[in-house]
Amino acid sequence: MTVTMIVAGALFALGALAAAARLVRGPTPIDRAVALDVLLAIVVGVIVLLAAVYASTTTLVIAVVVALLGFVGSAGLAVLLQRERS
Amino acid sequence: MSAADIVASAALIAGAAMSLAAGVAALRFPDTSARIHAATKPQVLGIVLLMIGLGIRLGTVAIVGELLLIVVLQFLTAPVSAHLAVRAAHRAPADDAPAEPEPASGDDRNDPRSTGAE
Repeated sequence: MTVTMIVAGALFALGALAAAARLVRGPTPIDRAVALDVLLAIVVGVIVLLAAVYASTTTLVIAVVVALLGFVGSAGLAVLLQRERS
Repeated sequence: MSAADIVASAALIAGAAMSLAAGVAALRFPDTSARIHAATKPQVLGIVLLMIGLGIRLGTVAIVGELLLIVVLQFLTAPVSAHLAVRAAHRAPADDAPAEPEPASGDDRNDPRSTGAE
């Protein structure tokens, strides 16, 4: 399980770096919203990975909340961006 | 390491690879629509794979119920947020998006490109 944690953690870290780069660069606000969505999905993935490695279930509630929060964030941002333009 | 642990590890690493694919796609793809498309799809499969791995690793009924809740929420909300983002992006094309061609007028008799011959 240690090897799993290192390999999967490295993959998550690379993905998070790429998404964060798009979050910084992204020419439109929608790009940034999507990059935030990806970043939050990676946060959920890291929480689940740690729960699997340590065989503990206490942090799974945080994963549920973050998954919902990611939806509310990106959907709300998309609606807001569209509304302020029209 | 038991066989169940190996399967769980494979699922966890595959899910992490899906998240990496989403991140790289969000960084590397050329325009906003392609980025939204490629960033929102692998993330659902990645979450599902991670939940499968965690379910195999822990394997109690209560935990599987909670994991199913997360998966169902992801399946319900990811298409909605992706649709909203694409709609917002579509109504205001980005600077780096290729310019859309002029819409066809439906009447091409005065179009110099048409030869008139069928």
